Amino acid sequence: MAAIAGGVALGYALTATAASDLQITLVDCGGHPRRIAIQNKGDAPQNLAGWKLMSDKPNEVFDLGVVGTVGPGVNFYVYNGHKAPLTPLQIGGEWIYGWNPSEILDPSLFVLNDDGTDFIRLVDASQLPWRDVSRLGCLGTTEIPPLEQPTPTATPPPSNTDPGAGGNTGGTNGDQSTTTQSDAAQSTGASQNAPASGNAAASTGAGTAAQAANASGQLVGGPASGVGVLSSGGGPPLAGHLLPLGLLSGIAGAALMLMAVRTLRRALRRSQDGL
Amino acid sequence: MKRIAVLAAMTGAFLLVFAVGDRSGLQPTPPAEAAETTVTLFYGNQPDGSIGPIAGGGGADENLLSLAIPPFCAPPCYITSIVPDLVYWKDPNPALTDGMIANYNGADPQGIWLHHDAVADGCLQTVFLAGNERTVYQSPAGYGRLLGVPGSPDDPNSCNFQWFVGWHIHNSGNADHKVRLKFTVTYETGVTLNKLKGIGLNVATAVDAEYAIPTGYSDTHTCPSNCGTGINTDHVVTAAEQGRVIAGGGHVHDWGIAVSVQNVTRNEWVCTSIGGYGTGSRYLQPNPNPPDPGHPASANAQTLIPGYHQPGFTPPAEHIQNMSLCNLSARGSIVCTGDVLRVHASYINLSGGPILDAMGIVSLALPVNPPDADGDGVWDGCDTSDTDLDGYQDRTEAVVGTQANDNCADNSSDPAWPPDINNDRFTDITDIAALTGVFGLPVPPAGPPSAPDRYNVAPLQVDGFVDITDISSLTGRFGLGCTP
Repeated sequence: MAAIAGGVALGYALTATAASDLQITLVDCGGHPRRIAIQNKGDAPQNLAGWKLMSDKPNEVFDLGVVGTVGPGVNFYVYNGHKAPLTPLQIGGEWIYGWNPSEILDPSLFVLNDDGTDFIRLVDASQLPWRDVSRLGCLGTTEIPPLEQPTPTATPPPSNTDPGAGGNTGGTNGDQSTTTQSDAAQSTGASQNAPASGNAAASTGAGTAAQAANASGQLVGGPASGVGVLSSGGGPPLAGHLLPLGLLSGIAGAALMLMAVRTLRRALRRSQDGL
Repeated sequence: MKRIAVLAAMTGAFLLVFAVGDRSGLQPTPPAEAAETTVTLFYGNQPDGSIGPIAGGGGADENLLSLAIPPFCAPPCYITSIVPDLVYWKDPNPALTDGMIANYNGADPQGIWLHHDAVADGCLQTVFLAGNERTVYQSPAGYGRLLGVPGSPDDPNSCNFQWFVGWHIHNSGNADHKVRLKFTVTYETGVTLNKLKGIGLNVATAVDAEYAIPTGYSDTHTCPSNCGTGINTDHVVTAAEQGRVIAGGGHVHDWGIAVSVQNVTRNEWVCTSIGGYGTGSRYLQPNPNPPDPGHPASANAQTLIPGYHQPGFTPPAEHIQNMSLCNLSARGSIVCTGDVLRVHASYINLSGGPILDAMGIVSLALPVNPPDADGDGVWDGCDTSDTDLDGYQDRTEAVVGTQANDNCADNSSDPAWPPDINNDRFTDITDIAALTGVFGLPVPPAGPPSAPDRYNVAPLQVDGFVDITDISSLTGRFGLGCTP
């Protein structure tokens, strides 16, 4: 029986991309799980805070911030859907991160399919404009559309007392710039599965301005640190699971609520640290 | 062929999760007297006899269904051969006609394929299990799997009252498909064959037998303890399992080179089962390390069976289509109570990333009642007794090929006394000359060239070469004769 259910579709670059040492080296759009391989082909470490993997649908976004810093020559992998690891997994010294992982087959969790149109794109969204640095098509895909830039929207400025404001889809604490690919980093950065959820800032429209303002340092705010708003014409926000919250409370209300929750979390954390 | 324990566990899982379905398939014919019969059986769980439709569009049937079925033959009978298959049946695509082999090669460029099917008896003991390579079960001549009459001494737990068949079928393509399982079964009735038992071994601990492998070459093997996540410990042979392995085979996935069993206690390779791929397959890659009997230089390049070609890949995706049977040897095939068996699975994974669902499974077949010349409960291959008092322990004679309960040849074709190479009842220059002619050569599985096991008579636990120990064993008895 075949180990890789649908075989491995070695993807191929279809159009030119922005120069980067970080490259997608493989995409497998037929296996269980789907597999994406990324390698730092350069000589210097690369911090992936603010970087994303994006597929063909607006809500198919994976925040690579949890990966931390990738050393030169290092490979890492993002596996998607059925049989993807529920928590980061190290095999042969290489890390695998789960994107929509599930032990039970649910085809809707797959973000890649050999349907002739699907693809994966590596985006440096750490600053505006976003850079499409690498892309591979699935089996049969002959054209990959250009990357759409996020729509600038107003956002509250970051608070000095809340450096992680703006959030991160991965459930990490925002300070991704200091994480590296180490055992410790992986054990604490386990929650990677939030391609379409968790970025309340994005759903509420917060972020882009703050993101731009903080691009050179720690990233805060919506698209850069999580899931962005891609469409320029008021298209669907990507954080679909949290959209109802925004609808109920209104954009400003949701943003305030998010900040309040995070402040409370930090207070609780400090309280726990003090025990 | 797969591990009994795994199959039992898997089948058990099937039964826990899914209700027992209707009896499907053909009812085997009643046993005939002294006859060999071949029947073709089909199984599906739908009213039209099919399995499915199994959804395409990125889906796959991961469900491990199970049906209660009659045994493949009506007890008492011996199964001697099982040939598995997966065929289209009532498929929505009229081009995929009933009975057409379903294996990647449908109109859909990523068609449907058999991850595995499993047959277990009512006690959840393995009867048969095949992956997509569709390994054939074939008993050695004179042997068979006995299906005893339920409640009889041959089936005291009534395991043959009913059987179960389960399956795991993948459809990674875009179109829905309908299929059914097919088994071509040969059995014998009205005869008495030697009964077989099994030892099932698995690299992985998981119920689904899967474990992870890194990119590149890997040799994942069991170990004494704390073997790593998902990796099994070595198997210690029980008294009930002891005997001589007479057949066996294994299972690996794409990129797999081989799966092998090492007898750590005796420092022998019991079995190496090698994967086979169509020549030029992307999955057929060399072992970058120096090979040894348990880690071959590569899998086998074979003539492609068309059904294993999956369109759309360069180099071509010729999926694994075969596993070789074990290359058994006189010494390596002996397993004794307490022996430690270690399973190795070698892969060369050039898929571009770690594989999380590798497998390494081996099933070994042994006679239920191995020879025990002195009746002490230790089969001859492991017994340090010298039952026939000919100066050679029973375990030595089991390897040399002489009889442990006979100290002298009755004729030239009756091997009885180890130093009497030509069975003429004397140990003389003709016997020594036979050994000197192959002096220094190894015995199988090493070589070629190799010397016959019959010439390798010493030391008591025989080694792997015809050398001075063997010459000395003969010269020490030079001129002696025996009387039948």
